[in-house]
Amino acid sequence: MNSTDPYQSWLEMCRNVEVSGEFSKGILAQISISEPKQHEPTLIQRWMEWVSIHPLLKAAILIVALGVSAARMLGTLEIILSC
Amino acid sequence: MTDEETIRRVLAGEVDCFGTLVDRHQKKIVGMIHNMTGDHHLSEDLGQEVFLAAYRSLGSFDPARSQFSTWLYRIAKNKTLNALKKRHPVFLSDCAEPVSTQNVHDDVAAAELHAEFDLILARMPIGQRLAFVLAEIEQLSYQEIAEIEGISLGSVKSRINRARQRLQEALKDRKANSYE
Repeated sequence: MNSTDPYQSWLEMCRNVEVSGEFSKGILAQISISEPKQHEPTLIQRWMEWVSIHPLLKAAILIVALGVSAARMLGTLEIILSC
Repeated sequence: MTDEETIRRVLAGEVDCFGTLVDRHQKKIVGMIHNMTGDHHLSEDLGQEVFLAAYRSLGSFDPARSQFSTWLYRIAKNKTLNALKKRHPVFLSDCAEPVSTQNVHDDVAAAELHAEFDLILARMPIGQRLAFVLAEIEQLSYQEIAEIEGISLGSVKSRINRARQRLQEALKDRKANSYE
């Protein structure tokens, strides 16, 4: 590709966009009156972090959850069989 | 100092360090918006909005997930698409100012062809135009473009190919007409 190729010279022209000297000054003036927000973890992220600190609790929750679903399934099965 | 180090310093309270990030990325971000909208004033206004939005949510930037420039381009894409939806389409060739004032063309034929390319670019569907601008003008990798646009690599390739075809056809037509 040479510079006399009209397509290449057009691309070069598109790349040469000038930015005014005031551009960054305007941004810095505005950010001086506001502070960047620290990343707030989501509820799930907080929960996962908490659970990772308490692995035994995690296991207990899992056992309870499995127990509840098994009891529900048995209850449903009983209703079906009684019909 | 890398972008990552600069971001850490900004978050630690050295707010002025954000200026380094602006200086480093402003040309590419404003350039991308300019080539999408064809409006220089709008591209600077939106560019400022992009950097302010980036500053406000700088704490949520995760360097493990993407480069800072990719993250900025993603914000710029959203701001640009919102702005384009709100207003009537602007054709680059209709703008009073050329894309660059540095290159003044003595060759009228080349200038006409450039204006034709501008018009074809402005008339492309937005997704195709964005993929083309990011690939051919900003020279980003297909992977980065897929991340910015939120589409598959295959879609990026086909959008760019279709855009190139449109421009090549214009070039062929122009050559054919000049031989007649």
